[in-house]
Amino acid sequence: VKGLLGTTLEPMERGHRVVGAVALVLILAALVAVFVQAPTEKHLGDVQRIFYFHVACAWTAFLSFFLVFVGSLAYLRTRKTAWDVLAVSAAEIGVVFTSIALLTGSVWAKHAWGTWWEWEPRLTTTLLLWLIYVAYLMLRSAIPEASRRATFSAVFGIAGFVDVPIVFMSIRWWRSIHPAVVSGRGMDLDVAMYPAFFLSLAAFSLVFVSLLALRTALERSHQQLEEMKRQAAFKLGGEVSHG
Amino acid sequence: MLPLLLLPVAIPIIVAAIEGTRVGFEGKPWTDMLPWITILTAFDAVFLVLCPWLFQYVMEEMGS
Repeated sequence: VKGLLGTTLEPMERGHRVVGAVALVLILAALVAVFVQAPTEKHLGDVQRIFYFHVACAWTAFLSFFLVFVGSLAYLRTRKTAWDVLAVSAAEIGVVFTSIALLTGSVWAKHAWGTWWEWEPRLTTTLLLWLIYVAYLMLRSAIPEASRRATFSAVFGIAGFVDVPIVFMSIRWWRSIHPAVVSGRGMDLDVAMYPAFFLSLAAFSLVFVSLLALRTALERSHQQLEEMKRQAAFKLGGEVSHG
Repeated sequence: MLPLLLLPVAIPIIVAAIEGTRVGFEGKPWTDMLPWITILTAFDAVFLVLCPWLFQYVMEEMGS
């Protein structure tokens, strides 16, 4: 069994390493672009530089939650564990990135708006999103049985995801004070800031892919281990009853 | 577990309903209420489609 697992995991592990290395290089490049190349913003000064990682984190969070949605839908359709593994991995990473986006946004808001927090549509709905996926993870930890856990969390993953478009549209529906970088009028960003902006986006996306690969592998091993334990207990129980 | 799951999902509806009612009580023009009604309508539309479809999966699992 050990040899079999070893041979199937090796090429994947090499893939993980390559993605991780590229992500590291991109993060370094993004750091250089953010702190050296990008011009200092006229009104906000250096504090504005947090914007690059803030938007990148928020984008990665949305991507994660979209994958939770896809994984949940696919699980209900196919009942394949792999989709459940994808959903839980993406949800965990999404919560982390939403937390970072909320915290970095808070730092930016302290400087730009003079307050750490404002009960404003974009912020409120993002906090809701964070709560929804924390609840998603708590729901999972509350159900020990694998197929039931997968089904219930898939249902909740789909229901929770409809909050995302509302977060996205909230700026247009309410009159939000949160700035919109990409709007109907195109990109509201100086061309000199493009490298830092897009490098950060690419870097965080790759960090996400790398984390997702690691997390899904971990979840797969975890579920395999649980299955083995269950079989071992079953066997042991059988022997005891025979003896 | 139910309140924990229901609260974050239901908050947009609660907030939109309260804000819409507030606009009504303050006697402001209808157009001020429109964004809140849009949200409520969107939620209605989405969940009226989603819930009957998702219900079968929950029931199936409950029965097993």
